[in-house]
Amino acid sequence: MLLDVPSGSIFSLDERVYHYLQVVLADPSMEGESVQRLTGLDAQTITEIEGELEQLVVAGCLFTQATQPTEDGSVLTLKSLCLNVAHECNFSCTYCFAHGGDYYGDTMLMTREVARAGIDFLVYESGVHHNVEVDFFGGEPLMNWDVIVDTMAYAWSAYPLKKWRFTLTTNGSLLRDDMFPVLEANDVSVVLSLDGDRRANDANRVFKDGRGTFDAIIERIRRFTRTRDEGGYFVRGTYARNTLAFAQSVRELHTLGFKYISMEPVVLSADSALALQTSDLPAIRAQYEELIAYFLSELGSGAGFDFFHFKLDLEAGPCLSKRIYGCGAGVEYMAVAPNGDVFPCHQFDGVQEYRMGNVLVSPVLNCPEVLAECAHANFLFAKEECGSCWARFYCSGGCLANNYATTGTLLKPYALGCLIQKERIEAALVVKAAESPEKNHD
Amino acid sequence: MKFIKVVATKTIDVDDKLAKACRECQTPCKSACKTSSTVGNQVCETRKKPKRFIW
Ligand code: SF4
Ligand code: SF4
Repeated sequence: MLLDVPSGSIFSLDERVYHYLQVVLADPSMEGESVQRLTGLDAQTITEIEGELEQLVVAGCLFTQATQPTEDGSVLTLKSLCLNVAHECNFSCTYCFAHGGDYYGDTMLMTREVARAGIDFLVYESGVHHNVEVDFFGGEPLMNWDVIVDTMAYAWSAYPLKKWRFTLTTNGSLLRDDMFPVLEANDVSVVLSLDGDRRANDANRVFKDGRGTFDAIIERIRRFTRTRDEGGYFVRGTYARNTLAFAQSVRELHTLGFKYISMEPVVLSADSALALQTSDLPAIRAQYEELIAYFLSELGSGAGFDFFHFKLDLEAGPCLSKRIYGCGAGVEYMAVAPNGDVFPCHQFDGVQEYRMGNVLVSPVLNCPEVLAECAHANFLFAKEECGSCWARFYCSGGCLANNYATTGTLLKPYALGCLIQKERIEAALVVKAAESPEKNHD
Repeated sequence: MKFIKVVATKTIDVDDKLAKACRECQTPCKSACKTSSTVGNQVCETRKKPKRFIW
């Protein structure tokens, strides 16, 4: 594969071109017989390869100038809010960043007043933005179903000119059939947590008493996903050190009948037994390779299989402005805790140093320093490593919360997370290359 | 071409898109506890409406 980072042009190379580029890029002054000797290619082949590369350069697809946009935080306004409607969960997953749902505090459910104040805050801050997002999160958000229903009804009725987009992240254990039409009517995208079959899932996703959760949720999740055959859900798994065979877990989820699947690397402090280590990278790479093969073999089968991280839309991808301003934590995206406190995102919930205000108080935001710090940290090129990383326009600069948790600052990327991210993006590009018919470079 | 397969060209269009950025698209959270999305997984709202957002 060859990726021209600034222009996003992607090529699949014959092995001979790969060798040629390796030799010539290592020493651009090299010419003639030296190139032949080091590449093992004859003069005719080298001429043909150089001709093809030249065509791409002339067409502006290869060796293009690196882009270095200037920072302009004024383009960022709040448009997305995570409502942590429950600081409580009926599970106690071993890898939970939220400490079994209570975020290292007292268990608490959000009241409808706080949730409505959150909606008011989002609408006020989002200004002229038409699309606004609200994610119901926890803990287990379905522990507070009535507030979720009330919040959606309030949003539509109080602010009908906004385009509301709701999402729900749930462990599935409290899903009931009578909820399905409500989720459908409000066009709620649903993320269902399940790590694989019983073996993989129950390794980490357990009840408070340590029992595995698979048997309690599988039928509920299946009943729901059958109502969404055309999409609108993802079954999302997490892989940790004790469940590293995640390609198998993905296949299991597919065999269980799920079409839309995602699988995420766990993030834990390095001293946790379940945390991924740099030494796991070869195994992680092998898993992505296995997944590529599975994805491609399922493509033409008609069985329906979609792996989220291999979905790259090369025709209608985001603009550069989006690619250089990260996840938006603390500026475009914020999270509200059950007591109304506002944080840069759900992973910062409870980190008092990053508390930005409270939705029950006017004005809501009272911490301009945090806002300014987040706005700067969201800018891709504010992070030295990101500015020169080949994956920068796909990643957009990593997770500020992971950066903070692992390096103590928003501005230094979480190194292992970057390596995994790059494996994943590379795998997605390989899938794209395998899927794509040859394109005319003009 | 004989040696190079062109998969896609100029998928990032610097001049055109910086000027027109409307920022109406979904925020791309990369957190494992949601469905971590890279911006690469997302689409431009003005060119292709996603049916639903997914975290
Ligand atoms: S992979 Fe890491 S270094 Fe590269 S853009 Fe993402 S966060 Fe930055
Ligand atoms: S900081 Fe991380 S968890 Fe928070 S919104 Fe950004 S990517 Fe998501």
